[in-house]
Amino acid sequence: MIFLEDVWVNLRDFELRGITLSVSKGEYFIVMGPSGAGKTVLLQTILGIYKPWRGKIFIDGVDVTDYPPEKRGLSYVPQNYGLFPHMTVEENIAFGLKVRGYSRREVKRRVREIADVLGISHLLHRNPKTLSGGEQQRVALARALVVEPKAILLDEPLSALDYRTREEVIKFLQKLHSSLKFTAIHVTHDIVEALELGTRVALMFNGKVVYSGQLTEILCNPHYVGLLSSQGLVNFLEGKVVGFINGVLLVDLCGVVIKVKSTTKIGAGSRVLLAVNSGDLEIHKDSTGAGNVLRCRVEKMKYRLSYYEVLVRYNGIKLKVCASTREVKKLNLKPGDSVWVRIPEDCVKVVYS
Amino acid sequence: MSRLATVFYAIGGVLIFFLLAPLLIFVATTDLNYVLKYGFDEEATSAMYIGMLAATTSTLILLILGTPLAYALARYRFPGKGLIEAVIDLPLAIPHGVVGIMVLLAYSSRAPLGTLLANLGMRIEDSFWGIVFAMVFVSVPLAVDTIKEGFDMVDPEIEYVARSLGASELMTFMKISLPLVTKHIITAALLSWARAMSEVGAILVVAYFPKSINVLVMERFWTYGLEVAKATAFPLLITTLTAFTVVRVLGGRK
Repeated sequence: MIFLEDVWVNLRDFELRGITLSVSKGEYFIVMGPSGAGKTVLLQTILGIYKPWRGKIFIDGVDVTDYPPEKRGLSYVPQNYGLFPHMTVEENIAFGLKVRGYSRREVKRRVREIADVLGISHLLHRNPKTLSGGEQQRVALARALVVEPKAILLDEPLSALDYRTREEVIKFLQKLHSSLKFTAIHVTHDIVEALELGTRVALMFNGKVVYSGQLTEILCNPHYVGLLSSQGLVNFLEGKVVGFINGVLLVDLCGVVIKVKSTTKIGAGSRVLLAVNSGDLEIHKDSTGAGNVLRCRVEKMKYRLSYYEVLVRYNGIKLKVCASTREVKKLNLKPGDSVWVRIPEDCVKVVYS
Repeated sequence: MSRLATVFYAIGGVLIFFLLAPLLIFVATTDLNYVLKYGFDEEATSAMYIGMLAATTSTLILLILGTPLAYALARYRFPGKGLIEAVIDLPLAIPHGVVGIMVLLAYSSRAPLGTLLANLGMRIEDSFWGIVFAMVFVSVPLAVDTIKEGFDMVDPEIEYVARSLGASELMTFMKISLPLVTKHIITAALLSWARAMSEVGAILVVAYFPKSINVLVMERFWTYGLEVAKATAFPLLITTLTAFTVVRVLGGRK
């Protein structure tokens, strides 16, 4: 079990603020939040790279706050998998076992065993550079799991994969977890991943955990209902309140002020995290004259059987918009196009302020 | 070939020509009989041996002391880091005669630090160690900057993974970070060695004796003139050129 008690970490340009979390043995725990929320810093703090100036970290009841990473018994899988490029796949997987002083025969046996489980036995003599993204990830997982860690820390493990591989890997991770029952902390900004893999989640924003609990509880909470719609795709937007008039918040998103319905008044100058469902965003070729529009550029389009996932960018903001096939055809949308994206004011939720 | 590439090749060609012309003329105008007579006589052979031994020793010292420094500069944040980086590059900007004077002032057996070194058997005035000290001083920027560049390219996340798998900081450095900068270390060694072999100014001030090839070439130029100096320098030139080519080709193959 992993337990964080009021953990504060101060980095030069970022701060983790009072994180309290508990992850049970064998649990697949999700840490979710927009980029820049501090998810990776949190993971690396648990790993022992950053030292809290306040608070404690316990692993299996032992206070490991002052332990170096190698004494914590956690395995880390970074976003780019971190395979050692000067070693073969077999040497990569064997690394942790050799460090622990296992006999050569035992190392070989365990490597073969885990390679079998992950279906990578045919890759053992390959150089990591020659592997596909999905293969690299399996190797990284094998290397992390072979040492039988107390928990495995996964930093956005699916973000570098294409859509199809991602779906496969999600299924694979589900199967692997149900058979090996390892404890995992999985960092993601993708609600789909969270929903498919975890049961409990910590939602992070601006260095703080703003919600921690059952994903199902979030679904029952009116505050988060809008956040997780039938599509399960949510955009997190960080903004700054500039005013509050008659139950409507005025929020500055990188230079454009949008209206957001809110029952509570939030003072001007406060930073807020907004959530808007990708299915609720409207895409137009010209400005409709209505408010709450962002002039965006289409970056990518992914076809997802019944709809298109359109990735658009406005200044520093990236948005996912779900558009029907009919809509995409009607607008003749393609990457590079300039579009207007409308955020209906009653569809935006203030998740945190 | 694109038009821009053609223009760039042409402009670059001017610089290559500028470098090659003196080299080719040097080789073409050197009398081989002179080379056999002055380039391989006892004094020249001994000077060559001393020069190469000193250059190799200085390179080893630089690798041993420079690699941890380069790693620290690439990985850690600490107060005064900018100043230290400036100090490392300083030898590039100081006339080498002045370097010699500075080394002599600090490490000669009359200076406090030098007394300490002399007690350890490393007296520097007119000694082998004096040549080594002068060579180390002028080669520091090349060695440290090149190795640091290598460590900058190693993703710290790879090191985190190794640590999580149970490797200590030192083991992670030895088994992961260091092997990943092999190419940079070889380049650093080559550059430092070459820089050391080409140093004269500082060596003239610190240790005229034992005569290294660098000093001998100058001395013969002053005493006997150009032809004898050219002949004396010829084996040095060929050796350095061969070493460069071999290492570049081997490094390229990797």
